Amino acid sequence: MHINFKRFLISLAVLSTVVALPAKAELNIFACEPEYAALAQELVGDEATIYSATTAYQDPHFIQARPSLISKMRRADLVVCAGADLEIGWLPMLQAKSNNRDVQSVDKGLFYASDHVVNLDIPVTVDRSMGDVHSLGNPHVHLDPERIAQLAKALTNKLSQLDSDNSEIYQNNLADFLTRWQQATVEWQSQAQALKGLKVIAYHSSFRYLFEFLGMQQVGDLEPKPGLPPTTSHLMTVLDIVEKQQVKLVVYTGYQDKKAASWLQEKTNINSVQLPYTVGGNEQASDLFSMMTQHINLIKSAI
Amino acid sequence: MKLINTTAVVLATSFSGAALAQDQLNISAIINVGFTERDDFSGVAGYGVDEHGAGLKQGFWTDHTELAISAPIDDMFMGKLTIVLDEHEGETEVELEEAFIQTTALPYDLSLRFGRFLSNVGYLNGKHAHTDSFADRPLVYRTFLNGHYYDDGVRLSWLAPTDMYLEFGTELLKGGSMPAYAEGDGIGAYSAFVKTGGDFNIENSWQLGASYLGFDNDEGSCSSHAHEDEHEEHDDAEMEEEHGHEAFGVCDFSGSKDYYIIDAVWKWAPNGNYKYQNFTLATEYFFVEEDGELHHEEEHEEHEEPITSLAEEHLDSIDVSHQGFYVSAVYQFTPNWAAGLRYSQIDFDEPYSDDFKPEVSTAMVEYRHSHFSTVRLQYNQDKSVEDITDDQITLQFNMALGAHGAHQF
Repeated sequence: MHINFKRFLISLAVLSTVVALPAKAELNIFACEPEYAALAQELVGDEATIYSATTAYQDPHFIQARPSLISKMRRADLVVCAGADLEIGWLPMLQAKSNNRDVQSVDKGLFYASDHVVNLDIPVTVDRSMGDVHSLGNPHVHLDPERIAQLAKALTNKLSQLDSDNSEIYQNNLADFLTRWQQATVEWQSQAQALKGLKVIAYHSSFRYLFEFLGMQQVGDLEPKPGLPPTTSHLMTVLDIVEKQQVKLVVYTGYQDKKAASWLQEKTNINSVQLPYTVGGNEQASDLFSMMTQHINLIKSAI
Repeated sequence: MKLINTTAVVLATSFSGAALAQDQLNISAIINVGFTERDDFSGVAGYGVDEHGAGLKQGFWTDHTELAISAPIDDMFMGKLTIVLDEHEGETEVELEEAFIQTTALPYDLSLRFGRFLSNVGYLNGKHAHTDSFADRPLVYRTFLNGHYYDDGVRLSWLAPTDMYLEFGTELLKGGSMPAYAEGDGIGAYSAFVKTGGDFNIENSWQLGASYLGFDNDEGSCSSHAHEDEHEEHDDAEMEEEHGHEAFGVCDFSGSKDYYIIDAVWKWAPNGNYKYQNFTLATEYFFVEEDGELHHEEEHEEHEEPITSLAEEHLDSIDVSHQGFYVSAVYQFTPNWAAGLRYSQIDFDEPYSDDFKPEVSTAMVEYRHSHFSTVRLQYNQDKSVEDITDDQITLQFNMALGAHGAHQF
């Protein structure tokens, strides 16, 4: 009897682990951009499969709602995107075509980063003569470490809401991430001292939040208006700004055409540098930490 | 026009007052205007085609200017309304092109659409014409689908639980708009389609589709739009030609019409970054079967006998099949400039044509100042009827106001 009871307990234990396994079913996360795939990775550890819809070499505004993305979204439990209309050309179409009821609203498995931080440059009035500007402000929020910390907390809440069984794991991961992130932020801030007031030209407002964090100043844009490609006449006015305002650097991302930046470098004595912009934007930028470090290092070595 | 003015005012007020939240009403207007230099439309071989079969109108036109409103209705439904303005012989007509609701919260990867919508058969038909890379639809679409086929009905779509995109869908439709003209108020058109697609790699993506579309057409329920007079004149003119072929009216056929459509699309962009350069190759093949009766007027000029009527009406029993296709290639080489080529051909069975195969070759170049404006110059070499080559030049302005359009694959 005694042995039998022991066996019974063992088999019960085995059974319970087998039964418990489905409760640990992995979350399926669809990230619109690599930075949100990387943030999710920090928070979920092994508890999820993560897919990034775009790479660092793709302009996230110009993505096609292609078949492979529809099938990825069909399977998603959580969709994490920048929001603020950055994905307006393709995300709503993917949602409609995915037939997935779990990712249709922010009440459920949809998370817009822009909903959880203060966006810069929210225009008072918007019309298209100003270019492709959006009424919800600049969506490239991931380049400010302080905003990333806020987003990590908000995303952890979302993960806990969707997968309450693993809530403790997410909270632990968050605590761990925030400790490391805050240490790194302090270091970046001290490195940023040398960059305070640095005047730069950039392609688009892609680095708005990075410059804000580093205390740098974007005095010109290679684009005549948001979304419009550089023109010769506009570049002449940028050239004028470089000459008059002691601009030190021109920066662009991996998904932007480098011709205009190269032209400006040739015409003047300032350097042009391609920054990672997001995770995967160069070989070293393999996660959010190295991405931030890369930005600061590349800027410092180019001036 | 009054209706539109009122709508515009209502929209303007709601738009200016509304805070632009993410769950806002999406309002967009497409202004599509242009100028075309061409000969009068004189049919596609002897096949009966309706208004949109004619393609672009001669001179200045403001065709297919549209107003669309869409929004989530609640957590269960979304809705869309599209009103199109078309011009017919100086009159501006308002067409309701879309008015549907679609579920957003069905389980098992299902969705249901109810109302008036563009049928999802083929590649182009489910897309709005203003997102096309050419000013007009390919010949095979204009001839067999009246440019685009929309109707009242219901669609059920299901995504298979596979890693690869695999969608199955079926539609039951009223059969109330061209090229359908079904009898009564029941189901007069039905479709089934399967679509799949994926990425070869980061730079290359593809989509394949196979569709069936069937109509129970009834001559008595058909009311053709415009062009009827032109057809009559055309009939006479062609009849006088020695080996000229008879041209049928769009309503002359009664019976079942079955379409089998295969579509394939390949898109390429360096690094998958569509902003600067990209290339699209698309093709669709149509196999069309007609089984029924063809209304046929026969003139008895040879007899010279004093009979009561010169034209005698017949109903000929026919069982014929046609095939047609188009291939188009469009290359965007800078964010501002794109160019494209297209070829479309139809091989009709008797009695619409003997050996003659109507064909149209197209070349276009377009300038996009921004994401929202396109100016396009297009040349068509149109050989829709035997022995005539019509060189058509079009300048088109296609502009989007309001809500950001979708980058549909």
